[in-house]
Amino acid sequence: MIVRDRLPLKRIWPQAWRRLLMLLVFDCTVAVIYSVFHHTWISLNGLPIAPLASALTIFLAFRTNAAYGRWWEARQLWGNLVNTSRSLARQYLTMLDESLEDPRRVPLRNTLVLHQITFAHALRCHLRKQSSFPEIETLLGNDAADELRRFKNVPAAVVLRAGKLLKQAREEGMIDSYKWISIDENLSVLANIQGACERIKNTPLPRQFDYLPGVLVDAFCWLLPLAIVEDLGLMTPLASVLISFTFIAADLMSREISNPFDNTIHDTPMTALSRTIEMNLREQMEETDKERGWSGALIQRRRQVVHDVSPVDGFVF
Amino acid sequence: MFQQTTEIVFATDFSDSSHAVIPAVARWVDELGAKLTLLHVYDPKKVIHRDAQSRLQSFFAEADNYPDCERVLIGGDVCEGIATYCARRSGAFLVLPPSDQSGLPRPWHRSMRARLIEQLDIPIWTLGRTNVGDSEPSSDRHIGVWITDAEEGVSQVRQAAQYVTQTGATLHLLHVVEDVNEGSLTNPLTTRSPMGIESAEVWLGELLEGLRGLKVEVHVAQGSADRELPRLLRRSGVEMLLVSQKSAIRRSMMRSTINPVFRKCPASLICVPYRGRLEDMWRGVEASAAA
Repeated sequence: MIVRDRLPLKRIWPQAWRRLLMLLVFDCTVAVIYSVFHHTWISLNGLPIAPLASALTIFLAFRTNAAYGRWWEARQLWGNLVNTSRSLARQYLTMLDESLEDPRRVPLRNTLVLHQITFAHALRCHLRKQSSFPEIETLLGNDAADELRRFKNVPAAVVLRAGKLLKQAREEGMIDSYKWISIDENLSVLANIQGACERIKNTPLPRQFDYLPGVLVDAFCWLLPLAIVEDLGLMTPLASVLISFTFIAADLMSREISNPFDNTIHDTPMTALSRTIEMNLREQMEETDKERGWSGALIQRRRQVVHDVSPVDGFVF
Repeated sequence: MFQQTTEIVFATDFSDSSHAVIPAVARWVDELGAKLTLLHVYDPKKVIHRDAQSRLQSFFAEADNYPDCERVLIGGDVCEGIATYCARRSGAFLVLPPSDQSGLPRPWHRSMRARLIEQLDIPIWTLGRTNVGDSEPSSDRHIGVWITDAEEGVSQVRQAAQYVTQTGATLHLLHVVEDVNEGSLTNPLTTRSPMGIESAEVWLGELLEGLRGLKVEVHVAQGSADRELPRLLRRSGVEMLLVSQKSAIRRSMMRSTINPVFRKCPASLICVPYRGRLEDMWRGVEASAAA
């Protein structure tokens, strides 16, 4: 996600320069043919170009709205994941009756919270097509990582493991049916968030919305110098390239934000959000451990203190 | 190829292409189980140490969760800094993303990747090109070896076969036979390269002798490598291409650059050092020691 005020031109330039260069050559040719060689037949009446520009603006606005809708929905889903993770951690840390638990084992509440942290990291990696196992090995241990390697959909498998741990807690009498249902509802919310993220990831914008504005932008940019050459003469290339750049930039920008899980600067900042989830949940877990006088090895799995992810060059991932 | 790899060195300048290759780095860490080092070399005249440190801490933040990860910051010349760091580590595997493409011609550009590939005697992973917003190949189910030389080819095939055996991937051997005309006859005479498609297939078959139980496909074309190699890669579906240091770079009078043919290739590249002569020398030393 871009958090800086200005977007440098170099981010648009690599994708736009070929189109702009061709248009500049064409614009110069039109201007020279009209103004120097006086072939006035090359000029088009500006009247038909104006409705085309209007239609193009509608198309571009529609696509930009649709792309922004996808980007914003992705951000909302991850916001919802932060909230649900905190709720689940609170439930794990306060609802389980630990008087019945074997004091020699790692408290189930901590294992469940670590599963929730793992889910956030696994979902991020799943959406970015990145391996999550190095992180899972640190968070849940090698045995759990090996077990999860059997699954293609790792975040769903992490939720399944959490569900099984809750079942175990119920069988051991640590939670009653009401509490179980309440926690299970939040696990279903996680599944829904994951499903919605996968929908955005796997369903592109309808091709008509993506393709047609691009074709219309090209058609408009090629016709534009013919429409303005009568009035602007040799200044046609300057005006035409500037106007074309505006349309091409709008076309490119809306295309880029339509995929919010593609590991680019336009991404939902999933690394920063999953780090926030981890820091918040660990804080809650460590506080609860202090209150209950438990000092096991599980917390020590973090070898170093983690900090918030700060933007690098104005971009936060 | 990676039996001795103990450390993955990811040299980063925090560019878009550095971010884009993160999934590939995560895959390498998972596959090799090696230590990950995030290396950033900054220019002390332009950037203050604290800023460089802060940027390095926030880059690839999830690596903090990896079992063994270190962030190393060095001040000075970028190429020298990376080369010095890697030269001290024999088990290193260098991940070197390309710089972001500006779309403008760079007549005075000196390729740092080409210089490092020439200097270092370790495997180097890179990409042919990266455009802002492009997604990068993140899978390695199809490993290709571009064979340009018989002697180096044996060494490359052996290294690729070891990796393919470990991962269960498919091995693709790619070779482009040069067009034969009066002017090009000297090349086949000096390199022992085959002069036709059929003889090339036989030649590649001989390279594969002794490699049983592997899924292997052979792809041969005739013509210019610049034109035919991208076609072969598309046809074969190769996702990661093993190339020799010699074929990875193109030398000219003034400078060396990454071979431009790779700009058209969607696959990632691994430039492997040629170990044939070293291995022979080592065997000789062992034999004389035994005697």
